[in-house]
Amino acid sequence: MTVLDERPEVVPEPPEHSERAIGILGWITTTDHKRIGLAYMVTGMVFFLIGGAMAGMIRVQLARPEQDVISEDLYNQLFTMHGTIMLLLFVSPFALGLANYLVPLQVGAKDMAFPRLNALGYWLTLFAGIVMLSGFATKDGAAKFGWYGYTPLSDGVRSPNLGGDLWIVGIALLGIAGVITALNVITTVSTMRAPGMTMFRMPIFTWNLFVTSLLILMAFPVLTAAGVMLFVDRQFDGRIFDAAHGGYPLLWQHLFWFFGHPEVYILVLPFFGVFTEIFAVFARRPVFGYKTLVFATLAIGFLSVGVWAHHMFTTGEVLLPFFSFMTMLIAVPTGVKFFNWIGTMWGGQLSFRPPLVWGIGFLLTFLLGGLTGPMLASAPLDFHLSDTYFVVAHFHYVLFGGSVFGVFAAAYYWFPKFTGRMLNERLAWIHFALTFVGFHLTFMVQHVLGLEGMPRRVQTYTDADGWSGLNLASSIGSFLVGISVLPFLWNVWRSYRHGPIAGRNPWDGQTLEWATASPPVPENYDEPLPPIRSERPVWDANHPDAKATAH
Amino acid sequence: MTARRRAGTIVAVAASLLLLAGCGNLGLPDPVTSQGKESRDLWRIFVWTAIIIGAIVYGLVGFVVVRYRRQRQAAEPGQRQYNVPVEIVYTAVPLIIVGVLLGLSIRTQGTVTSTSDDPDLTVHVTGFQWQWQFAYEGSDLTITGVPGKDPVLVLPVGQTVRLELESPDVVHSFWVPDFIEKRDLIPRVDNAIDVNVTEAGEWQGFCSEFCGLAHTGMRFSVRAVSTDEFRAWLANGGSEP
Repeated sequence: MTVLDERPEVVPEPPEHSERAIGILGWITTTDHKRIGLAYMVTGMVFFLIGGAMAGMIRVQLARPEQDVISEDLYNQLFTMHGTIMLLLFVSPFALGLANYLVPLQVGAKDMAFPRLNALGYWLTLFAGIVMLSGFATKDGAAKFGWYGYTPLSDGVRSPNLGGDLWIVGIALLGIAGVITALNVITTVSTMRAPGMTMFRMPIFTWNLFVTSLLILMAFPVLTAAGVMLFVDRQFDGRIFDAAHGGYPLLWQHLFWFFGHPEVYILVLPFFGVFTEIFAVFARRPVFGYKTLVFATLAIGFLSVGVWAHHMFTTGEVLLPFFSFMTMLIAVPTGVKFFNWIGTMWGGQLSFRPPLVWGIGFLLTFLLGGLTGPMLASAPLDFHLSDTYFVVAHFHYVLFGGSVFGVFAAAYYWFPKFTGRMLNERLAWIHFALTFVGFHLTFMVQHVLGLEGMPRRVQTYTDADGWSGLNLASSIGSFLVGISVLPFLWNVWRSYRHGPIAGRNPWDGQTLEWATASPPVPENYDEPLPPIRSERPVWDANHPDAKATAH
Repeated sequence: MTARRRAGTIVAVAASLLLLAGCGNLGLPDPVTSQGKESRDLWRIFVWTAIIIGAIVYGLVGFVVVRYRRQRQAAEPGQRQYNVPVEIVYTAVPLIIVGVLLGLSIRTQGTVTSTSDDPDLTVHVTGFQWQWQFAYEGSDLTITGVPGKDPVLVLPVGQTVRLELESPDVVHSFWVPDFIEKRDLIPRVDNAIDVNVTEAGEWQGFCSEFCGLAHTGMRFSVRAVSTDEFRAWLANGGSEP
């Protein structure tokens, strides 16, 4: 029937290291997708704390006008590295960690297609992060040309510090790591699905990681190539971006955003997948409009490679309506998803456990980022809004409200699967409430600051500017967000040892990762898989009378 | 009933939050150029569209959360997965909204970015690390900022002024929030915008593209004066009239 049946029945060799070596050596030498996944996620969380500490320092500096708590030089390093870390070393690795852990489990496979390559991807990511951060230990500090490193500012004349080179090396390594992992996900999804698991029976999370991986394949090589070009300019006098010698500075912006805009969908699509699963499970319903949702994801992926120049309206060089058109159009499939999520919950039996609470928080937060998107897609409005705190607010609503809320939702949802124990729900509520209030206090006011005239990336402002009150409010909000992490960390630390035993399927889950022990055994399944006749085989097996109906 | 009332409250709170962002200009400064007024009008349409869509979606989420919370001893919920007419509606309606917004946006973009063949005055604006220089064409007047004293760009009210935007080093961006417009200064790229200032006054301007160490201090002022005052000022070599 499928490829799997044709395979000769061989007794698998015991894994060379993974489950055999114990302790720290076991983790270092592992090729097991679950361990690599966890390593990605834990590494990502550590970078989240580092990047968050940097954000806290930025908000301390901006809390009052005309402060000089943090020098301009250090401030520039902080916002550069904050952006780089949060996007490339926190959210991306966390999403790839989820992919590693869950995609094989959701499609009924024993591991990823290329386990050793998988391990290489993780170690490259960790190494890249350390290389980038090591800039802080050099004499002139870390990279300080902004996370999108515009030329000519980032060339060897204007930013000669070693930290800049370390940043580029890190970018190139991350590009390679991303491609490796994306290939692995695509191959796993394409070739290792269990019998019965057709493409249109894959869980939405797996679908989204599949599309994300396709986007990574399109976007990351461009980033790596651009990084190499910039490195050649800095180290070998390449002059690719040097206007004085016939180079073209704007080329960097094109290349960077050709990576950069798919990148934001790479960061958020996995978490759209997370929330889709959560809405269905906690409403005890099938995903509403499953196929529409898949096509919406594909549409987002397709459109996202044609919108990069909306970051460049103010350059005056790309004022084609094409880019406005594509950017506004991408709002449509995103809107479709919103209605699908609401439709999934419609008529359900919602139980407000922590994952769903984060899901509702996501809907209420991400929506506002979605609504400011078309404003920025309109070139004449972007002429005012670009490079102001309005943009800062917009992308934090999208990336924090989408991705970071998604990280926590995923953590609460799958922690029982990862560890076999439940997290404490009271602490989860405290965590959510502090984050939600803190987040909106921090970023809601930044819309107003940007409209009134506060440019982004300024180290200070004067009292006469009239921005003091809102900046103070924003800083207080950010400290709330900072504090909110503490109950989460404590919860993870304590529940890992003392939480109630979760069992195989604590949430009445629908997809195949809930058809095995928690945590799953090596090679994933300790008993035969349930028959796969829809995108929620575990639900079908547990609720034979409640099959999805088309009408 | 409570469900509906609570959903209503959520909508009202969301709408008023957005309204608090500003009335009239909805958060924008009062535009002082004819181009800025065009953008402000477009902004109003976009913001109100966003408020209405936001209120509807918040209402739906609020309704679902209140109405469909889990009941004790409830039967298994309906497992209906598709509703094609509804799905078509919620795909088509956003497409129409986006199409209208795009059309309006393109129209405004044309007005705001159009440049006159025969401007009344041309000023070469140069941004460099980390100051501004304003050179008035047809006069040898050049104003350059020095640390501690921001340069002032003096413009006549009611005239079409061409700003030629040039950079010798890195990317900068010329932004006067009260103009509701900014444009980048990029080596090897010739950028120009026209502004028609409609009232006298003095406003703050910024470099809004991060340009290195002292980016924060790269500010300037714009002072708009009547044409007569402007001529006198120019004839005086830029000293105070």
